[in-house]
Amino acid sequence: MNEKSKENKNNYFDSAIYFLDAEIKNSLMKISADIKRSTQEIRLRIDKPVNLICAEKNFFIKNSGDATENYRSIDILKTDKNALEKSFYNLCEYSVYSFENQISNGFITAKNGHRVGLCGTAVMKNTEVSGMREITSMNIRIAKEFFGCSLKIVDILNKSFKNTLIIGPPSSGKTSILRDVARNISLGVGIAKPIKTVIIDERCEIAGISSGNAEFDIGLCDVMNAFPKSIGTEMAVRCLSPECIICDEIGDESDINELVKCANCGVNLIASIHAKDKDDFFKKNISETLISKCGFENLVFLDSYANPGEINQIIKASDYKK
Amino acid sequence: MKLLGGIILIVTGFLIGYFFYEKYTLKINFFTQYIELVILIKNGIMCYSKPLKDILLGYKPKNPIKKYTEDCILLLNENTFSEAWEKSFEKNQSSVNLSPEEKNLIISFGRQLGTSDSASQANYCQQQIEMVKPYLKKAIRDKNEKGKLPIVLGAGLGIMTAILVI
Repeated sequence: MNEKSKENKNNYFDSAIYFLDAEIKNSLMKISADIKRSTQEIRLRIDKPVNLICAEKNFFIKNSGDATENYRSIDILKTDKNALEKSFYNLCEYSVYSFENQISNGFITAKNGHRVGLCGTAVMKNTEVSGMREITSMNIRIAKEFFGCSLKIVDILNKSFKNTLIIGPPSSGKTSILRDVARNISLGVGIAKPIKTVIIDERCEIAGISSGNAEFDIGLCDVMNAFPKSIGTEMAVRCLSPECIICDEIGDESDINELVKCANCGVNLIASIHAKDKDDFFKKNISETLISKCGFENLVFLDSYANPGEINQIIKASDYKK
Repeated sequence: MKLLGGIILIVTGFLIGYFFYEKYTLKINFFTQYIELVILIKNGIMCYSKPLKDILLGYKPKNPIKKYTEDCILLLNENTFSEAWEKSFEKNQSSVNLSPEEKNLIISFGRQLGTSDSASQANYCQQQIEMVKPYLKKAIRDKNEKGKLPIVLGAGLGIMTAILVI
Protein backbone atom coordinates (compact mmCIF):
# COMPACT_ATOMS: atom_id res chain seq x y z
CA MET A 1 0.00 0.00 0.00
CA ASN A 2 1.52 3.33 -0.93
CA GLU A 3 1.57 6.61 1.03
CA LYS A 4 -1.31 8.20 -0.82
CA SER A 5 -3.51 5.30 0.19
CA LYS A 6 -2.53 5.61 3.86
CA GLU A 7 -3.09 9.36 3.95
CA ASN A 8 -6.55 9.06 2.50
CA LYS A 9 -7.86 6.43 4.89
CA ASN A 10 -9.18 8.89 7.50
CA ASN A 11 -10.93 10.83 4.78
CA TYR A 12 -12.72 7.68 3.61
CA PHE A 13 -14.33 7.33 7.05
CA ASP A 14 -15.29 11.00 7.27
CA SER A 15 -16.65 11.05 3.74
CA ALA A 16 -18.81 8.00 4.50
CA ILE A 17 -20.72 9.60 7.38
CA TYR A 18 -21.66 12.92 5.79
CA PHE A 19 -25.35 12.05 5.62
CA LEU A 20 -25.79 10.86 9.22
CA ASP A 21 -27.84 12.68 11.80
CA ALA A 22 -25.79 15.45 13.46
CA GLU A 23 -25.58 13.79 16.89
CA ILE A 24 -24.27 10.47 15.56
CA LYS A 25 -21.99 12.19 13.06
CA ASN A 26 -20.43 14.42 15.72
CA SER A 27 -19.69 11.44 17.99
CA LEU A 28 -18.23 9.44 15.12
CA MET A 29 -16.03 12.34 14.06
CA LYS A 30 -14.41 12.27 17.51
CA ILE A 31 -13.20 8.65 17.41
CA SER A 32 -9.49 8.00 17.13
CA ALA A 33 -7.71 8.03 13.78
CA ASP A 34 -6.57 4.42 14.25
CA ILE A 35 -10.12 3.14 14.56
CA LYS A 36 -11.25 5.33 11.69
CA ARG A 37 -8.51 3.80 9.53
CA SER A 38 -9.39 0.21 10.34
CA THR A 39 -13.19 0.59 10.15
CA GLN A 40 -14.72 -1.32 7.28
CA GLU A 41 -18.40 -0.96 8.12
CA ILE A 42 -20.61 1.23 10.29
CA ARG A 43 -23.84 -0.41 11.39
CA LEU A 44 -26.85 1.55 12.65
CA ARG A 45 -29.94 -0.14 14.05
CA ILE A 46 -32.97 1.47 15.69
CA ASP A 47 -32.51 1.68 19.48
CA LYS A 48 -29.23 -0.27 19.29
CA PRO A 49 -25.66 0.91 19.80
CA VAL A 50 -23.76 2.29 16.80
CA ASN A 51 -21.44 -0.54 15.76
CA LEU A 52 -18.10 -0.20 13.96
CA ILE A 53 -16.83 -3.32 12.22
CA CYS A 54 -13.06 -3.31 11.95
CA ALA A 55 -10.74 -5.91 10.49
CA GLU A 56 -9.94 -7.52 13.84
CA LYS A 57 -12.54 -6.22 16.32
CA ASN A 58 -15.99 -4.72 16.69
CA PHE A 59 -16.36 -1.42 18.48
CA PHE A 60 -19.25 0.54 19.95
CA ILE A 61 -19.18 4.29 20.42
CA LYS A 62 -19.85 6.34 23.52
CA ASN A 63 -21.50 9.73 23.24
CA SER A 64 -18.13 11.25 23.99
CA GLY A 65 -16.70 9.63 20.87
CA ASP A 66 -14.64 7.03 22.75
CA ALA A 67 -14.72 3.51 21.35
CA THR A 68 -15.46 0.49 23.52
CA GLU A 69 -15.88 -3.22 22.91
CA ASN A 70 -18.56 -3.45 25.58
CA TYR A 71 -21.97 -2.66 24.14
CA ARG A 72 -23.50 -2.56 27.61
CA SER A 73 -21.27 0.27 28.80
CA ILE A 74 -22.89 3.43 30.17
CA ASP A 75 -23.25 6.43 27.88
CA ILE A 76 -23.27 4.28 24.75
CA LEU A 77 -24.36 6.02 21.56
CA LYS A 78 -27.62 4.56 20.23
CA THR A 79 -29.50 5.24 17.03
CA ASP A 80 -33.07 6.38 17.59
CA LYS A 81 -35.80 6.07 14.99
CA ASN A 82 -35.85 9.76 14.22
CA ALA A 83 -32.09 9.90 13.67
CA LEU A 84 -32.17 6.90 11.34
CA GLU A 85 -35.06 8.38 9.38
CA LYS A 86 -33.29 11.72 9.03
CA SER A 87 -30.11 9.98 7.93
CA PHE A 88 -32.03 7.95 5.36
CA TYR A 89 -33.71 11.01 3.82
CA ASN A 90 -30.44 12.92 3.80
CA LEU A 91 -28.75 9.97 2.10
CA CYS A 92 -31.50 10.07 -0.53
CA GLU A 93 -30.99 13.84 -0.87
CA TYR A 94 -34.64 14.14 0.24
CA SER A 95 -35.58 12.49 -3.05
CA VAL A 96 -36.43 8.86 -2.31
CA TYR A 97 -37.87 8.38 -5.82
CA SER A 98 -34.44 9.16 -7.23
CA PHE A 99 -33.05 6.00 -5.59
CA GLU A 100 -36.06 3.77 -6.20
CA ASN A 101 -34.17 1.13 -8.18
CA GLN A 102 -31.33 0.94 -5.71
CA ILE A 103 -33.67 0.81 -2.71
CA SER A 104 -35.62 -2.05 -4.29
CA ASN A 105 -32.28 -3.91 -4.47
CA GLY A 106 -31.60 -3.19 -0.79
CA PHE A 107 -28.92 -0.52 -0.98
CA ILE A 108 -28.09 3.06 -1.87
CA THR A 109 -24.70 4.15 -3.14
CA ALA A 110 -23.77 7.28 -1.22
CA LYS A 111 -21.54 10.06 -2.53
CA ASN A 112 -17.90 8.95 -2.76
CA GLY A 113 -18.96 5.41 -3.68
CA HIS A 114 -19.78 4.13 -0.20
CA ARG A 115 -22.50 1.51 -0.35
CA VAL A 116 -25.23 1.73 2.28
CA GLY A 117 -27.20 -1.49 2.81
CA LEU A 118 -30.77 -1.03 4.04
CA CYS A 119 -33.14 -3.10 6.13
CA GLY A 120 -36.82 -2.37 6.45
CA THR A 121 -40.26 -3.48 5.37
CA ALA A 122 -40.63 -4.54 1.75
CA VAL A 123 -43.07 -2.74 -0.52
CA MET A 124 -44.33 -5.30 -3.01
CA LYS A 125 -45.79 -4.73 -6.47
CA ASN A 126 -47.26 -7.99 -7.72
CA THR A 127 -44.49 -10.43 -6.82
CA GLU A 128 -41.54 -8.07 -6.94
CA VAL A 129 -40.02 -5.82 -4.30
CA SER A 130 -40.57 -2.27 -5.55
CA GLY A 131 -39.22 -0.43 -2.55
CA MET A 132 -38.70 -0.35 1.17
CA ARG A 133 -40.40 1.53 3.98
CA GLU A 134 -39.82 1.85 7.72
CA ILE A 135 -36.06 1.56 7.54
CA THR A 136 -34.84 -0.26 10.66
CA SER A 137 -31.11 -0.56 10.05
CA MET A 138 -28.30 0.64 7.81
CA ASN A 139 -24.90 -0.78 7.04
CA ILE A 140 -22.39 1.72 5.65
CA ARG A 141 -19.59 -0.06 3.81
CA ILE A 142 -16.64 2.27 3.58
CA ALA A 143 -15.22 2.29 0.06
CA LYS A 144 -11.46 2.70 -0.09
CA GLU A 145 -8.92 3.11 -2.83
CA PHE A 146 -5.82 0.91 -2.73
CA PHE A 147 -3.48 2.40 -5.28
CA GLY A 148 -1.29 -0.23 -6.89
CA CYS A 149 -3.14 -3.24 -5.47
CA SER A 150 -3.69 -4.63 -8.97
CA LEU A 151 -0.12 -4.45 -10.26
CA LYS A 152 0.30 -8.24 -10.17
CA ILE A 153 -2.79 -8.59 -12.34
CA VAL A 154 -1.72 -5.83 -14.72
CA ASP A 155 1.64 -7.54 -15.09
CA ILE A 156 -0.07 -10.77 -16.15
CA LEU A 157 -2.36 -8.85 -18.52
CA ASN A 158 0.66 -7.15 -20.05
CA LYS A 159 2.10 -10.50 -21.00
CA SER A 160 -1.16 -11.81 -22.39
CA PHE A 161 -4.44 -9.92 -22.12
CA LYS A 162 -6.97 -12.58 -21.15
CA ASN A 163 -10.36 -12.44 -19.44
CA THR A 164 -9.83 -12.08 -15.72
CA LEU A 165 -12.11 -12.97 -12.83
CA ILE A 166 -11.55 -11.51 -9.36
CA ILE A 167 -12.87 -13.90 -6.72
CA GLY A 168 -13.23 -13.19 -3.01
CA PRO A 169 -15.56 -13.06 -0.02
CA PRO A 170 -17.47 -9.87 0.87
CA SER A 171 -15.21 -6.97 1.92
CA SER A 172 -12.11 -8.63 0.46
CA GLY A 173 -11.47 -5.68 -1.88
CA LYS A 174 -12.85 -6.93 -5.20
CA THR A 175 -14.19 -3.53 -6.20
CA SER A 176 -10.96 -1.79 -5.13
CA ILE A 177 -8.95 -4.15 -7.35
CA LEU A 178 -11.30 -3.66 -10.30
CA ARG A 179 -10.96 0.10 -9.88
CA ASP A 180 -7.19 -0.10 -9.77
CA VAL A 181 -7.05 -2.39 -12.82
CA ALA A 182 -9.39 -0.02 -14.67
CA ARG A 183 -7.20 2.97 -13.84
CA ASN A 184 -3.94 1.24 -14.78
CA ILE A 185 -4.97 -0.38 -18.04
CA SER A 186 -6.88 2.68 -19.29
CA LEU A 187 -3.88 4.91 -18.60
CA GLY A 188 -1.37 2.35 -19.87
CA VAL A 189 0.36 2.01 -16.50
CA GLY A 190 2.33 -1.26 -16.33
CA ILE A 191 0.97 -2.27 -19.69
CA ALA A 192 2.30 -1.87 -23.24
CA LYS A 193 -0.43 0.50 -24.44
CA PRO A 194 -3.57 2.06 -22.95
CA ILE A 195 -6.64 -0.12 -23.35
CA LYS A 196 -10.03 1.36 -24.28
CA THR A 197 -11.96 0.41 -21.17
CA VAL A 198 -15.64 0.68 -20.27
CA ILE A 199 -16.85 0.16 -16.72
CA ILE A 200 -20.39 -1.14 -16.28
CA ASP A 201 -20.93 0.29 -12.82
CA GLU A 202 -24.26 -1.25 -11.89
CA ARG A 203 -24.02 -0.38 -8.19
CA CYS A 204 -22.20 2.94 -8.72
CA GLU A 205 -19.33 1.72 -6.56
CA ILE A 206 -16.38 1.36 -8.93
CA ALA A 207 -16.27 4.97 -10.10
CA GLY A 208 -18.46 6.42 -7.33
CA ILE A 209 -20.17 8.80 -9.73
CA SER A 210 -22.03 11.60 -8.00
CA SER A 211 -23.70 14.44 -9.94
CA GLY A 212 -21.82 13.32 -13.04
CA ASN A 213 -18.35 13.35 -11.46
CA ALA A 214 -16.34 10.24 -10.63
CA GLU A 215 -15.31 10.41 -6.98
CA PHE A 216 -12.60 7.80 -7.52
CA ASP A 217 -9.66 7.98 -9.88
CA ILE A 218 -10.60 5.66 -12.72
CA GLY A 219 -8.12 6.90 -15.30
CA LEU A 220 -9.48 7.19 -18.83
CA CYS A 221 -12.36 4.76 -18.52
CA ASP A 222 -15.85 5.35 -19.85
CA VAL A 223 -18.43 4.63 -17.17
CA MET A 224 -21.94 3.31 -17.78
CA ASN A 225 -23.28 4.36 -14.41
CA ALA A 226 -26.14 2.47 -12.72
CA PHE A 227 -26.77 0.42 -15.88
CA PRO A 228 -27.78 -3.19 -15.28
CA LYS A 229 -24.92 -5.36 -16.56
CA SER A 230 -27.09 -7.08 -19.12
CA ILE A 231 -28.10 -3.77 -20.75
CA GLY A 232 -24.89 -1.84 -20.14
CA THR A 233 -22.58 -4.41 -21.72
CA GLU A 234 -24.73 -4.65 -24.83
CA MET A 235 -24.84 -0.86 -25.24
CA ALA A 236 -21.12 -0.52 -24.58
CA VAL A 237 -20.18 -3.12 -27.19
CA ARG A 238 -22.49 -1.53 -29.73
CA CYS A 239 -21.63 2.12 -29.13
CA LEU A 240 -18.28 2.56 -27.37
CA SER A 241 -16.02 0.05 -29.18
CA PRO A 242 -14.31 -1.09 -25.98
CA GLU A 243 -11.28 -3.35 -25.89
CA CYS A 244 -12.08 -4.28 -22.32
CA ILE A 245 -15.26 -4.26 -20.23
CA ILE A 246 -15.09 -4.21 -16.44
CA CYS A 247 -18.02 -5.10 -14.23
CA ASP A 248 -18.58 -5.94 -10.59
CA GLU A 249 -20.31 -8.86 -8.89
CA ILE A 250 -21.56 -11.30 -11.47
CA GLY A 251 -24.75 -12.73 -10.09
CA ASP A 252 -27.42 -14.40 -12.13
CA GLU A 253 -27.82 -16.10 -15.49
CA SER A 254 -28.68 -12.89 -17.34
CA ASP A 255 -25.32 -11.40 -16.34
CA ILE A 256 -23.49 -14.48 -17.57
CA ASN A 257 -25.42 -14.64 -20.84
CA GLU A 258 -24.42 -11.06 -21.59
CA LEU A 259 -20.79 -11.73 -20.72
CA VAL A 260 -20.83 -14.71 -23.10
CA LYS A 261 -22.02 -12.35 -25.85
CA CYS A 262 -19.18 -9.93 -25.03
CA ALA A 263 -16.64 -12.72 -25.09
CA ASN A 264 -17.96 -13.76 -28.50
CA CYS A 265 -17.56 -10.18 -29.74
CA GLY A 266 -13.87 -10.26 -28.96
CA VAL A 267 -14.10 -7.84 -26.05
CA ASN A 268 -11.95 -8.69 -23.06
CA LEU A 269 -13.65 -8.98 -19.70
CA ILE A 270 -12.55 -8.26 -16.19
CA ALA A 271 -15.19 -9.03 -13.58
CA SER A 272 -15.63 -10.02 -9.98
CA ILE A 273 -17.66 -12.67 -8.21
CA HIS A 274 -18.37 -13.65 -4.62
CA ALA A 275 -16.78 -16.87 -3.35
CA LYS A 276 -15.17 -17.70 -0.03
CA ASP A 277 -12.14 -19.40 -1.57
CA LYS A 278 -10.99 -21.58 -4.46
CA ASP A 279 -12.99 -24.64 -3.39
CA ASP A 280 -16.10 -22.58 -2.86
CA PHE A 281 -15.76 -21.06 -6.34
CA PHE A 282 -15.30 -24.36 -8.14
CA LYS A 283 -18.28 -25.81 -6.27
CA LYS A 284 -20.52 -23.14 -7.81
CA ASN A 285 -22.61 -24.25 -10.76
CA ILE A 286 -21.70 -21.15 -12.73
CA SER A 287 -17.93 -21.56 -12.40
CA GLU A 288 -17.79 -23.98 -15.33
CA THR A 289 -19.86 -21.62 -17.51
CA LEU A 290 -17.69 -18.66 -16.59
CA ILE A 291 -14.52 -20.50 -17.57
CA SER A 292 -15.67 -22.37 -20.64
CA LYS A 293 -18.23 -19.98 -22.19
CA CYS A 294 -17.12 -16.55 -20.95
CA GLY A 295 -13.49 -17.55 -21.37
CA PHE A 296 -12.18 -16.37 -17.99
CA GLU A 297 -8.58 -17.50 -18.02
CA ASN A 298 -6.99 -15.63 -15.11
CA LEU A 299 -8.63 -16.49 -11.80
CA VAL A 300 -7.55 -14.11 -9.05
CA PHE A 301 -8.36 -15.24 -5.51
CA LEU A 302 -8.34 -12.58 -2.80
CA ASP A 303 -7.47 -12.84 0.85
CA SER A 304 -10.11 -12.59 3.58
CA TYR A 305 -11.81 -9.37 4.69
CA ALA A 306 -8.99 -8.84 7.20
CA ASN A 307 -6.68 -7.86 4.32
CA PRO A 308 -8.80 -6.08 1.77
CA GLY A 309 -7.16 -5.70 -1.62
CA GLU A 310 -4.55 -8.41 -0.98
CA ILE A 311 -4.18 -11.02 -3.70
CA ASN A 312 -3.91 -14.54 -2.31
CA GLN A 313 -3.37 -16.51 -5.50
CA ILE A 314 -3.65 -16.15 -9.27
CA ILE A 315 -4.25 -19.32 -11.24
CA LYS A 316 -4.82 -20.10 -14.89
CA ALA A 317 -8.16 -21.74 -15.50
CA SER A 318 -6.56 -23.97 -18.12
CA ASP A 319 -3.94 -25.16 -15.62
CA TYR A 320 -6.59 -25.89 -13.03
CA LYS A 321 -8.57 -28.04 -15.46
CA LYS A 322 -5.49 -30.12 -16.12
CA MET B 1 -45.96 76.60 -9.36
CA LYS B 2 -49.41 75.63 -8.06
CA LEU B 3 -50.08 73.73 -11.29
CA LEU B 4 -46.86 71.76 -10.87
CA GLY B 5 -47.73 70.96 -7.24
CA GLY B 6 -51.18 69.80 -8.34
CA ILE B 7 -49.73 67.53 -10.99
CA ILE B 8 -47.31 66.05 -8.46
CA LEU B 9 -50.19 65.32 -6.06
CA ILE B 10 -52.24 63.63 -8.78
CA VAL B 11 -49.28 61.51 -9.93
CA THR B 12 -48.45 60.58 -6.33
CA GLY B 13 -52.03 59.53 -5.70
CA PHE B 14 -52.03 57.50 -8.91
CA LEU B 15 -48.72 55.79 -7.98
CA ILE B 16 -49.99 54.87 -4.50
CA GLY B 17 -53.06 53.35 -6.13
CA TYR B 18 -50.89 51.54 -8.67
CA PHE B 19 -48.75 50.11 -5.85
CA PHE B 20 -51.83 48.42 -4.38
CA TYR B 21 -52.97 47.32 -7.85
CA GLU B 22 -49.57 45.67 -8.40
CA LYS B 23 -50.09 43.50 -5.32
CA TYR B 24 -52.89 41.74 -7.18
CA THR B 25 -50.62 41.22 -10.19
CA LEU B 26 -47.82 39.97 -7.94
CA LYS B 27 -50.10 37.36 -6.42
CA ILE B 28 -51.20 36.15 -9.85
CA ASN B 29 -47.55 35.94 -10.95
CA PHE B 30 -46.68 34.09 -7.79
CA PHE B 31 -49.34 31.42 -8.27
CA THR B 32 -48.59 31.11 -11.99
CA GLN B 33 -44.90 30.60 -11.34
CA TYR B 34 -45.59 28.32 -8.40
CA ILE B 35 -47.70 26.05 -10.62
CA GLU B 36 -44.89 26.14 -13.20
CA LEU B 37 -42.45 25.11 -10.47
CA VAL B 38 -44.63 22.21 -9.33
CA ILE B 39 -45.01 21.05 -12.96
CA LEU B 40 -41.23 21.23 -13.32
CA ILE B 41 -40.77 19.19 -10.14
CA LYS B 42 -43.28 16.65 -11.39
CA ASN B 43 -41.53 16.33 -14.75
CA GLY B 44 -38.10 16.18 -13.11
CA ILE B 45 -39.32 13.30 -10.98
CA MET B 46 -41.19 11.43 -13.69
CA CYS B 47 -38.80 11.88 -16.62
CA TYR B 48 -35.34 12.15 -15.07
CA SER B 49 -35.61 10.99 -11.45
CA LYS B 50 -33.54 14.04 -10.55
CA PRO B 51 -33.05 14.90 -6.86
CA LEU B 52 -35.12 17.89 -5.73
CA LYS B 53 -32.06 20.09 -5.32
CA ASP B 54 -31.03 19.51 -8.94
CA ILE B 55 -34.57 20.22 -10.12
CA LEU B 56 -34.63 23.53 -8.23
CA LEU B 57 -31.17 24.40 -9.54
CA GLY B 58 -32.42 23.90 -13.08
CA TYR B 59 -35.36 26.27 -12.59
CA LYS B 60 -34.59 29.81 -13.71
CA PRO B 61 -37.68 31.80 -12.86
CA LYS B 62 -38.22 35.52 -12.48
CA ASN B 63 -39.32 37.10 -9.23
CA PRO B 64 -41.24 36.44 -6.99
CA ILE B 65 -40.42 32.68 -7.05
CA LYS B 66 -36.73 33.23 -7.91
CA LYS B 67 -35.64 34.31 -4.43
CA TYR B 68 -37.72 31.56 -2.90
CA THR B 69 -36.09 28.70 -4.86
CA GLU B 70 -32.61 30.21 -4.44
CA ASP B 71 -33.00 30.38 -0.65
CA CYS B 72 -34.44 26.88 -0.52
CA ILE B 73 -31.30 25.51 -2.26
CA LEU B 74 -29.02 27.40 0.14
CA LEU B 75 -30.97 26.31 3.23
CA LEU B 76 -30.75 22.66 2.14
CA ASN B 77 -27.10 22.62 3.24
CA GLU B 78 -28.15 22.92 6.88
CA ASN B 79 -31.77 21.77 6.95
CA THR B 80 -34.03 18.96 5.87
CA PHE B 81 -35.96 19.61 2.65
CA SER B 82 -39.25 20.36 4.42
CA GLU B 83 -37.50 22.81 6.77
CA ALA B 84 -35.71 24.52 3.87
CA TRP B 85 -38.96 24.71 1.91
CA GLU B 86 -40.84 26.26 4.84
CA LYS B 87 -38.09 28.67 5.90
CA SER B 88 -37.44 29.98 2.40
CA PHE B 89 -41.17 30.46 1.89
CA GLU B 90 -41.65 32.25 5.23
CA LYS B 91 -38.70 34.49 4.40
CA ASN B 92 -39.94 35.58 0.98
CA GLN B 93 -43.75 35.45 1.09
CA SER B 94 -44.46 38.80 2.80
CA SER B 95 -44.49 40.82 -0.44
CA VAL B 96 -47.03 38.47 -2.05
CA ASN B 97 -49.76 39.03 0.56
CA LEU B 98 -51.03 35.46 0.82
CA SER B 99 -53.83 34.38 3.13
CA PRO B 100 -53.04 31.91 5.99
CA GLU B 101 -54.89 29.19 4.06
CA GLU B 102 -52.76 29.81 0.94
CA LYS B 103 -49.55 29.83 2.99
CA ASN B 104 -50.46 26.57 4.69
CA LEU B 105 -51.15 24.90 1.34
CA ILE B 106 -47.70 25.75 0.03
CA ILE B 107 -45.79 24.97 3.24
CA SER B 108 -47.49 21.61 3.70
CA PHE B 109 -46.53 20.58 0.15
CA GLY B 110 -42.87 20.53 1.19
CA ARG B 111 -43.50 18.08 4.03
CA GLN B 112 -44.18 15.03 1.87
CA LEU B 113 -42.19 16.04 -1.19
CA GLY B 114 -39.45 13.56 -2.01
CA THR B 115 -40.48 10.98 0.57
CA SER B 116 -41.87 8.26 -1.69
CA ASP B 117 -41.60 6.61 -5.10
CA SER B 118 -41.91 8.51 -8.37
CA ALA B 119 -45.50 7.49 -9.18
CA SER B 120 -46.75 8.65 -5.77
CA GLN B 121 -44.72 11.85 -6.03
CA ALA B 122 -46.14 12.64 -9.47
CA ASN B 123 -49.67 12.20 -8.10
CA TYR B 124 -48.76 14.35 -5.12
CA CYS B 125 -47.52 17.15 -7.41
CA GLN B 126 -50.62 16.91 -9.59
CA GLN B 127 -52.79 17.13 -6.50
CA GLN B 128 -50.94 20.28 -5.44
CA ILE B 129 -51.44 21.83 -8.88
CA GLU B 130 -55.18 21.11 -8.72
CA MET B 131 -55.38 22.58 -5.23
CA VAL B 132 -53.55 25.79 -6.19
CA LYS B 133 -55.55 26.44 -9.37
CA PRO B 134 -58.66 27.76 -7.55
CA TYR B 135 -56.47 30.24 -5.67
CA LEU B 136 -54.98 31.44 -8.96
CA LYS B 137 -58.48 31.86 -10.40
CA LYS B 138 -59.53 33.78 -7.30
CA ALA B 139 -56.46 36.04 -7.59
CA ILE B 140 -57.33 36.79 -11.24
CA ARG B 141 -60.96 37.47 -10.30
CA ASP B 142 -59.88 39.76 -7.44
CA LYS B 143 -57.61 41.70 -9.77
CA ASN B 144 -60.37 42.16 -12.33
CA GLU B 145 -62.98 43.10 -9.75
CA LYS B 146 -60.98 45.07 -7.21
CA GLY B 147 -57.70 45.82 -8.97
CA LYS B 148 -58.72 49.11 -10.59
CA LEU B 149 -60.24 50.48 -7.41
CA PRO B 150 -56.92 51.49 -5.74
CA ILE B 151 -55.82 53.32 -8.91
CA VAL B 152 -59.10 55.16 -9.21
CA LEU B 153 -59.12 55.98 -5.50
CA GLY B 154 -55.46 57.04 -5.54
CA ALA B 155 -55.82 59.22 -8.60
CA GLY B 156 -59.16 60.63 -7.33
CA LEU B 157 -57.70 61.46 -3.95
CA GLY B 158 -54.77 63.14 -5.71
CA ILE B 159 -57.08 65.22 -7.87
CA MET B 160 -59.23 66.22 -4.90
CA THR B 161 -56.22 67.20 -2.82
CA ALA B 162 -54.81 69.14 -5.78
CA ILE B 163 -58.09 71.03 -6.21
CA LEU B 164 -58.21 71.81 -2.49
CA VAL B 165 -54.63 72.99 -2.44
CA ILE B 166 -54.94 75.05 -5.61
